[in-house]
Amino acid sequence: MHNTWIRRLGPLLAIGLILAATACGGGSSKAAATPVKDNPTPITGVSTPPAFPLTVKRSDGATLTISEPVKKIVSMSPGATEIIYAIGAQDALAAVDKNANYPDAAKNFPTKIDAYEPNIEAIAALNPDLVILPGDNGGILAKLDGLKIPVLYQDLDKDIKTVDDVLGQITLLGQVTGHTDKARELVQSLSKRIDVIKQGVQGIPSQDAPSVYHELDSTYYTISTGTFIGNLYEILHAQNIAKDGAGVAYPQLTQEAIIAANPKIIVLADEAYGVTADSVKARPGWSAIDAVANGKIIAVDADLISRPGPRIVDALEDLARKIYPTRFQ
Amino acid sequence: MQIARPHRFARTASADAPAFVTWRGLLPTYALAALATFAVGVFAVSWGTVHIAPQTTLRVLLGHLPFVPAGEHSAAIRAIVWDVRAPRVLLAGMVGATLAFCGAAYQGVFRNPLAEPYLIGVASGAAVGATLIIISPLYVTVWLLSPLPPAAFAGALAAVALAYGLARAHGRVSTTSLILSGVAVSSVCTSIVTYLMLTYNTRTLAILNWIMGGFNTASWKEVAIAAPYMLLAAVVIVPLARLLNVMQLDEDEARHLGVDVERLKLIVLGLASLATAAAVAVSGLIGFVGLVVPHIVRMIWGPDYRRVLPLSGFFGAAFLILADVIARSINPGYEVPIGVVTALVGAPFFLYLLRREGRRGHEAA
Repeated sequence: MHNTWIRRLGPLLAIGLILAATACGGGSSKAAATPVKDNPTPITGVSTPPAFPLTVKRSDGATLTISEPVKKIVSMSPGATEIIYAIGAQDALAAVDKNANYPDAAKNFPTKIDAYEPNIEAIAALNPDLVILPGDNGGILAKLDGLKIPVLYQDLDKDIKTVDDVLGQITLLGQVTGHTDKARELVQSLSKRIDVIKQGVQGIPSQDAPSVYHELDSTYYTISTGTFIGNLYEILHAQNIAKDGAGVAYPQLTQEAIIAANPKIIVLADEAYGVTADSVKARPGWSAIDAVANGKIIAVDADLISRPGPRIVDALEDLARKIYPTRFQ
Repeated sequence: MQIARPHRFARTASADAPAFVTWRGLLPTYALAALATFAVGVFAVSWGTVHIAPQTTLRVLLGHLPFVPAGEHSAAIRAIVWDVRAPRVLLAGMVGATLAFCGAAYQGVFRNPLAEPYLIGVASGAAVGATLIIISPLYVTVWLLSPLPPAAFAGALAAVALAYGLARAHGRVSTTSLILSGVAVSSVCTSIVTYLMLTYNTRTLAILNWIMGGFNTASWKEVAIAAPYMLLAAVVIVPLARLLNVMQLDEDEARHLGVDVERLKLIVLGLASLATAAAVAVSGLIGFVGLVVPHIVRMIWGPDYRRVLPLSGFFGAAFLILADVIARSINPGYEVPIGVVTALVGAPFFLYLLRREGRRGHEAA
């Protein structure tokens, strides 16, 4: 019975998990067992000069060559869409993903594509000169390649694992759209803000580094250190109780592991789905956790924190203020 | 039920059944099975990623009995043993028992070895109920009651009632039409869930997570919610085991022997569906247990429903408790979907028994 769904949605799952976990900002985010590899694929184009033709290595190992600034982008990644708006390249957008909701212009964008069930005909009809793909959902990559539509495929789980990787995406999209100056300015200002945070947490002795449980949904899915959300906690010198997730990017913790880890802080990214500090406090047995006993249960905006776009720095600052209220105002 | 004197036929019903056994004669078997299941439960509570000594576990558990001193334990240990592990193990046992028991009952009524408790719409109906709640703004874990289990429960019962109503003709419900209407209702429900999953794609994962089932969020609350339905099914259906034995002959023959077949079907299917709906409501859809455990029991202890029904319950409980232990132990601290474990562990064992049975049959011939 339930196998029917798994069979039917199996291929869809692979990316669905990634998308919802990172792109959509859903409170229920979790991901399949995607091993975190130790050899991050270098994002070429980050350090190379913006001269065309530009070559970019895709997550599937293929190389994408772009010979001139793109003008008709189909962005299947809400994070990439936010970047494109932030660097002023929105005129090059032909369509955005259904879940894009920031800025307002993206939310109200007239042409939207469902990234979960991408309609290849709808994409082809737009005659795009670039499709930005954050994951290969249901063989869409092969189909687009078959139609000779250039695809910038940079997998959220494989290639965007740190905040630096997000900055790399900004630089890359700046080059691709020919908005290099604007992208450089944005990266510089974001880097400056990140540095302020880094300085602020400097000198926190390791025994004072708070342990954190980051809750994605009410069945205890969380993030491992090998994700860009996990990277935020590394920057903040906080210890993620899920650690490397035994190789899973978005693992599901057992309740007893959470209670035994005794986190000092609980971060709720699932407030949009009704999980509140009060409902966490009411969970049987959770009163034994320091964070619950001391009322250190904080909520974050799931959209901010789960999208690899410029607002990830907003999320970082927000977390810094909430975790270290005395150090950051 | 007053309608038959089935003990006369129990002897003739299955020609290969060895000697006639009375209910009383079965008591030692039940007691042994109960003891074994209890032992599995105690083991499961003392087993976990956080190492807690068995005697500590036992003392924490016993400390909740009246007049037993609680002893000095850290809050974390008390919380893990009493608030997390004990209800989790108990719920897994209850759900496993219910699925296997109801699977056996369904197989008895349908006289079909492929019958399982999800056959006539419980699972897919529950999935529609759960999905509707997950995508709605009602999906709020209010600190005492989540609307999810009642919605899944209602969905399950609505689907079964629909299948039953559609199959009913001239006051009778033929098992064949019931299976067919069950399949039809299930398909409709499945497509509704699939459609909703794709439409509300930010909630796809919450829905799938529910469908895959598990006991990670188990608490005493779920235990209390589900227990009455499960007990009711057990208490009413077990005494009907002899009538189910008679049913195995042929429906018409059973009718001639004085069994009110329609009433038997309605009672057994109704209560089994009710209990299954309760199990699904608190644990999601866990496959394989309801189908395979009754067969394993039959292969080992024979086809008499007075054995098959209760032993399926005990065996199903032990099986799912152990499957859950494995699910939380593969990656210490992290969960593995329990459906993966039930199929991975259960299927090879089932195949082994099937092969052994086949060889034995061959040698006998």
